Amino acid sequence: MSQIFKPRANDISRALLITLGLLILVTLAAVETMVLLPYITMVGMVAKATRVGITPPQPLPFSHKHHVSEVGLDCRYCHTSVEESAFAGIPPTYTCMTCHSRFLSTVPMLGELAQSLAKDKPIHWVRVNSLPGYVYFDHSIHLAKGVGCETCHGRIDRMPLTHQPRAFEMDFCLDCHRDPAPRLRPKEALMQMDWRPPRDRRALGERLMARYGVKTTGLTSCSTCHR
Amino acid sequence: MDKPQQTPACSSTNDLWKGLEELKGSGPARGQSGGSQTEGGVFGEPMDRRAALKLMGASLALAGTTACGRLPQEDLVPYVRRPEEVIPGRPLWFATTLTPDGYGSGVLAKSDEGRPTFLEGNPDHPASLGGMDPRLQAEVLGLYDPDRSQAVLRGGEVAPWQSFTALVQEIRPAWKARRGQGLVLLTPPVNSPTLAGQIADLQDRYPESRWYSYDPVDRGAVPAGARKVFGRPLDSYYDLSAARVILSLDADLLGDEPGHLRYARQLADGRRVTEGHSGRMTRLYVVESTATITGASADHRKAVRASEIGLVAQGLASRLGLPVTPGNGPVAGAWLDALAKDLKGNKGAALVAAGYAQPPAVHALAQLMSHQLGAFGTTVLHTDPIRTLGSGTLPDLVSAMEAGEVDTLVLLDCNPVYDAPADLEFGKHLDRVGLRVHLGLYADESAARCQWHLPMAHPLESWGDARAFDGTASLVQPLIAPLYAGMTPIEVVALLAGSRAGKGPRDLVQAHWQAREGAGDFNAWWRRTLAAGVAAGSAAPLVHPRPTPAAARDWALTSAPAGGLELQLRPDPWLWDGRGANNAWLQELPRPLSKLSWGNAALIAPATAESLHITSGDLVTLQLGDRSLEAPVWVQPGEPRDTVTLRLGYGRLRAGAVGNGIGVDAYRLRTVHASWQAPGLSLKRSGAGPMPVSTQLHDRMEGRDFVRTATLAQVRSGTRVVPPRAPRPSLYPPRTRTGPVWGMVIDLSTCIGCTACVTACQNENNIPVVGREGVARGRTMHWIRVDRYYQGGADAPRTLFQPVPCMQCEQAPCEYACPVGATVHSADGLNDMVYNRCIGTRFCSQNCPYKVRRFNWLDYTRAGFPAPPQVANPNVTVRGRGVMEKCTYCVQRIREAEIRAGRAGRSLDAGEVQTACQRACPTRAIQFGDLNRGDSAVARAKGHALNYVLLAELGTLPRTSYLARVADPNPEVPT
Amino acid sequence: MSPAGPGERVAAVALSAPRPWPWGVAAFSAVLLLLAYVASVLVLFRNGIGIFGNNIPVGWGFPIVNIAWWIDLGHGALLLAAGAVLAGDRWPAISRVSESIALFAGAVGGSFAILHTGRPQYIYFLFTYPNTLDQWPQWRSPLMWDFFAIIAFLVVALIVWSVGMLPDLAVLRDHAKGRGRQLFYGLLALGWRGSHRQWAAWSRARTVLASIAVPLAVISTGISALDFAGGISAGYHSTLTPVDAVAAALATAAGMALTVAVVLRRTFALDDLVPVTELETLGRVLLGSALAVGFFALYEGYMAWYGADLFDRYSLSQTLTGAFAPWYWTWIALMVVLPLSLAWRSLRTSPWLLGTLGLLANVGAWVDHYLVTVTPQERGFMTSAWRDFSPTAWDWLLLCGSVGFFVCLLLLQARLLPVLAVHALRPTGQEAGHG
Repeated sequence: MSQIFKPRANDISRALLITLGLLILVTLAAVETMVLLPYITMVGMVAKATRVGITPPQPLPFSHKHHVSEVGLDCRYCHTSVEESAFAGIPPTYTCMTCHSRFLSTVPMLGELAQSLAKDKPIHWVRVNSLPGYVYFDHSIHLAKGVGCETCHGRIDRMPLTHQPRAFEMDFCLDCHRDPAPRLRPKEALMQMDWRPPRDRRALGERLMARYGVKTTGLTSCSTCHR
Repeated sequence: MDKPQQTPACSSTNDLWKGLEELKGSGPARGQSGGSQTEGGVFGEPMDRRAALKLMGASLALAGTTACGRLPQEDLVPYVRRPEEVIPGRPLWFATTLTPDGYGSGVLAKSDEGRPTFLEGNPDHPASLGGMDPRLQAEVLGLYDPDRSQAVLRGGEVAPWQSFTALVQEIRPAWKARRGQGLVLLTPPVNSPTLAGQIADLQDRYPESRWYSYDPVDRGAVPAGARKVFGRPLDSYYDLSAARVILSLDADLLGDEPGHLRYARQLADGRRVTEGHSGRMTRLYVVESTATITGASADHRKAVRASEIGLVAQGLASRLGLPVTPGNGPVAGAWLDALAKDLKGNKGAALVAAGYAQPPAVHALAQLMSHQLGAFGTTVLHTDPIRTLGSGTLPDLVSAMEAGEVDTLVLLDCNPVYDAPADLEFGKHLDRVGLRVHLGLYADESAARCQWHLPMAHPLESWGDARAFDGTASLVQPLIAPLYAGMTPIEVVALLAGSRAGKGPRDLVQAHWQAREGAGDFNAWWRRTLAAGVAAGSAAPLVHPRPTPAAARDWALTSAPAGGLELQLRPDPWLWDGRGANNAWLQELPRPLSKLSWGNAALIAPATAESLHITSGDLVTLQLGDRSLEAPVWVQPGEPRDTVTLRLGYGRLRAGAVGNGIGVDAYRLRTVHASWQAPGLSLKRSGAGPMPVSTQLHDRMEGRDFVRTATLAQVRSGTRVVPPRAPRPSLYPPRTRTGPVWGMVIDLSTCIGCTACVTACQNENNIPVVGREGVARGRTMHWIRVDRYYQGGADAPRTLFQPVPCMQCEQAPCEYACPVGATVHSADGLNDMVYNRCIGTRFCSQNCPYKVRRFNWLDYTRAGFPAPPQVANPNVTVRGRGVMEKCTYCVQRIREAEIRAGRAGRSLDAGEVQTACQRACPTRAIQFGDLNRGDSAVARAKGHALNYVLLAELGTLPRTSYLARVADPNPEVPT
Repeated sequence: MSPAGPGERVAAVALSAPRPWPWGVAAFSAVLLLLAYVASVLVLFRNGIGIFGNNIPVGWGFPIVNIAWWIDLGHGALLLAAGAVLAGDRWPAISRVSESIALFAGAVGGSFAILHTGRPQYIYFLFTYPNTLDQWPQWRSPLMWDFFAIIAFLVVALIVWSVGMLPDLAVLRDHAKGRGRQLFYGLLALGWRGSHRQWAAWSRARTVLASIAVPLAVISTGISALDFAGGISAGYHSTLTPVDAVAAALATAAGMALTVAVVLRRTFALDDLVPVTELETLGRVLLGSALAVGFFALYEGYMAWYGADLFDRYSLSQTLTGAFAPWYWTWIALMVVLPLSLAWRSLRTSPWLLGTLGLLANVGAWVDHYLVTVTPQERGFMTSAWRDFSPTAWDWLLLCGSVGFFVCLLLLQARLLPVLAVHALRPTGQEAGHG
């Protein structure tokens, strides 16, 4: 009866077995990396919750950079309800026109605005900073407790076109909900983009927590964000 | 933040009408909902996540990278000009008035970005005192009903409004010429001062025109009875707060009498044994012909055939010294003696109430007895008839139609083709009328027989006004512009009269009130009244009539009731006369006593059923004269013998996708002369049909102590009703009790089992309906179930109610069961349910001894009858398929309150957080709050000797507890 | 040509067509059922578990009954197989059949663990991996333990099965005609040459695996049972349940092994290779475990009565005489009473009787799991929530389908792999290799 396998077959098979084992390990590692790095953007769902750095096409090329750092508008001039409602508020056309009826009203780029007011047709912006529907985020309470705009929205004053600066994953929220102290700011610095925290930020944070009455018990209860 | 179930955080323009068109677009078409289980994505998830989920399916590993799929691209649509009072993300509240039972009831309506989403009782309104009932609550769902008539129909074809207005303008001269001869109006009894004024005005312009009115829930016996006693028709209502002993002769004071919410509250306050208890309870005797929640709350209840209640009344009247032929009727003489003694012993604080289903004679007797007991002016109050009636009734109209005196018939907000007594054959005669116009919320049975159908504006879209049971007027204001170009009856009448003159609906109402309140600053009055929801001092003036007892003998009941089976009709507690038929909440909500859902049945007492050899689920043919009806049987303890009770409002043919063909149409057995009961019914078993679906299949407690009971005597003597029980040892550490500790106490002494809490909860928490099959399978989603137990013999049982929400156990068996931690304890002691973490193992429900958890077996946003997205509460997640859910103590309200307080840098006030069920409860039987605060009512209640928890022996330490049910039976009444 | 040796005959089953006619029938019906399984799974994923009869209070229906049934069958089979190894490894049928049953039943049962959840697409929440949610599974949950138990069990079952087959695969390789098959079996045999060293290492491996498998099977069975015993419902909240489960599992497995073995030896005319004494051994196991099950049944009844807990006593009364009685007595009859007949040697040595009793024992086992999963919930603590469970067509279809799935795997093995443990046929076991 003839040989089915050459003697070398043994070594080959061993080699195969080992590589197989390695392959499995590598894939697992790769997957786990993808889990933990929100910035990997691939087609479909891994771009997923995190639309980090993506600037979707908007009806108007609105520049926060210009309006915040150059014109120097306060956030609340447009996002009026940010301190009293869960929803920060998108300015009605009317707000834009308070200035743009006079400045740059003729620039074709802004024709949309005039149209909107004239035709009483709202402007359809594309949401940039987005959370899943089952997350109940409330702007007002975060401001009231000393969380600044920049903490989540990043250097909005440096964004010609607005994008989501970081992944709003649950761990991002939890980091702060578990240990708010080093993230809190004094009231006057809430809207400030280039705020320099003092050297001992935790100490400041502790003081602010006391002042704002931030209690960590309950901050990580599920129903705090999911209802 | 806007949510998937929510529309863009700002409604798209400051013009609601356009905005709502958009909202409408985002709602599921009714067509989708039908066999929708077979629709949907790989896992039946919403469209936008399908792509992501396919990818997930393709690669579990990749799916592992996120708990949520790729987010859909959302648009942010700001206003063009923001109305100043609107703060995006914050709701607004408006006071308005609803009239589900023909009488005004004040509500506060919540508006989320222009969408009415929730209703609460208006505490300042005399009819509700802040309480709700399911019929009121469900109006908000009715508003968005996609089956509502959406356009003018001319011969069934969609036509523009102008075509009708043009027609009217064309005919008006002719009417003028013939002084309105042949022009006939048919309406329900009118409770709107403005509309009444409009009609009067119409009749001024067209003196020969006729106005007829009718109410399928025929209350004609009340004024008729008064006429016998006082010589003129009067309405009467009661002040139960001034009463110590109450006798109800077939009057469902807590269920369907005008002002039932107020009565419920007053009675409860008189029977509360906690909170500053006076040491005595208002005693309630009920003699009734069908099992009602009023009978269930009674200290002494007798089930008597409707036709024999008169005899009981007579027996009692003679004992109270009225000149009527003495007797006992079917009730033991000793019983009546004790009752009479009790009543006489409380002169000035006793009252006798008769139900609208009883003949005028009984009402007359009741009036006389009340007078005899010095009740007039204290517990029994009289007014001139609250509702304005037409010059004729339905039979008059039919004979007029027969005589060919009707050329033009305008049906305003009524559906006689469906709900007129069968022997009138209204439909047949209607066809002989030249021009037939129908105004209604739905293109219903009557609309189908008219050349013109006009869509009516929903109360939440309308300007108007309504009078409550005591005549108090309040304004109806729109929460939203009409979704479907509907008009109010006020507008239509004005249109007919030609008095509209370009006036909008508000102008018409204002015009009426300006004329009345003319003196002083009308605008101030208007704004004040709108804000308050009640027109101050508008209650009908009391009249103090003098009865003529001598008359009693003349019309005393002589005819002994016929033997044999008796048919009895009653409005359905939820569908009422049928107007609620297309409301999925009302269809699914179990009836308080029978717990039947999605259909009516012939209710028959156990003994009678036995003697007839029939049982629940059998089909029987009911024969009455030459009319017959096939109906399923439901054996209902507490019904009187030899009586078959049917609920009206079912068997609709053109109610809509929800209500069509549900149940059997009891109107087909109704005749003009026997609106409520008829003798000589014959019953034949015609086989077995599908079992009527009920949410509770077992009526007994099997020796388990779910509902603990006590008598007032025991409480006074300090008898320990609830044996003290040492806390069970637990392997788990005790919960910390720092910060707020939320808890609930439900007082079973004041709970009347009306299930208002269930619908309020459904409204607040976006709870889906599961349809008939779902209920039959035992998949009802209601987060609160009101358990109903019977004690004692099946024919005269004692009925006990017990609302059972989640117990929010401190050592919750569900929590350690869940493998993924989707149900966990919050810092403030809530048993949180995290929908987005749940994978649906259902171990939590398996391990819940109270069985209060509910599971989304199918995608109920598509299957069954999904509620339109517009009605959804934006602060509560709409649950997807395969997810567990349950009562959360309205955690969204707790968190909102905390945030509100947090913004203001203060701590929560006691009683600042109220759950939806607590707020809706007409008797304030539900207490909720922070147990850590001594000043909270709930903390005090927890300390009460009657406080106990369900299944304490399991050591689950529930946060929801009960106060034992206390009754005050008269020791002299023979049992 | 000398008369074919046992190895050759066993190899022939896998290698040489035509096959006896019952094969065709079995294969056809099994595949049909498998298709039913696949179809109902698709419908399930499309519509959700609402297609089953489950409700509140009965949140767990057929799918859970099936998991418990299959997995416990697997557990028992692994216990049986490992026991056989430790007891001398000299039963060709017992070894191979029970090893296969362990793996296949485990696989089928495992599939239900996913199918029964409301959102199978999120089953990965059970995995423990560092994630962006900063969440871990909930370690107090018996389901969590069960999840790991099942995985451990499946891995071990797979290893025991494949390692046990090595020498036999070599035999198939040696008898295979045609390069393709030789390669196929050759690769699977991992270069088995039958040297003394290999035999020694192999039998050592077998022993080690077996001695791991025995406690694992016991523990894993117990943990599965904790899904119920860990719950609070009267009727299964009992510390005895896990132990009871082991006995029941063993009985089930012995029963299934008997059925398969009997059919096997008759269909492929291997009666002489699988002597009746071997079947008799299985019969003894069935008898013994059935006795144990009977004892536990009595004991649990006694405890429920002696404990004097209102709810336990009620569920006991329901079990003995009330709503659950039909199920209960069916179970007792099939799993306790009938097997007792094996106390008589004459009955114990009739293959067909053994096979039949074995099958009935399995039916009994299913009823047992139904009795634990469904009935206690139908009559729970709150009388107001009492409601009966009625299965839908899909429930039945998926159950039958899973049987088809299982049988398909068995048939596939018979078609491709050695149906008997050839190595057990050779006291010395030195002949494999270059025959």
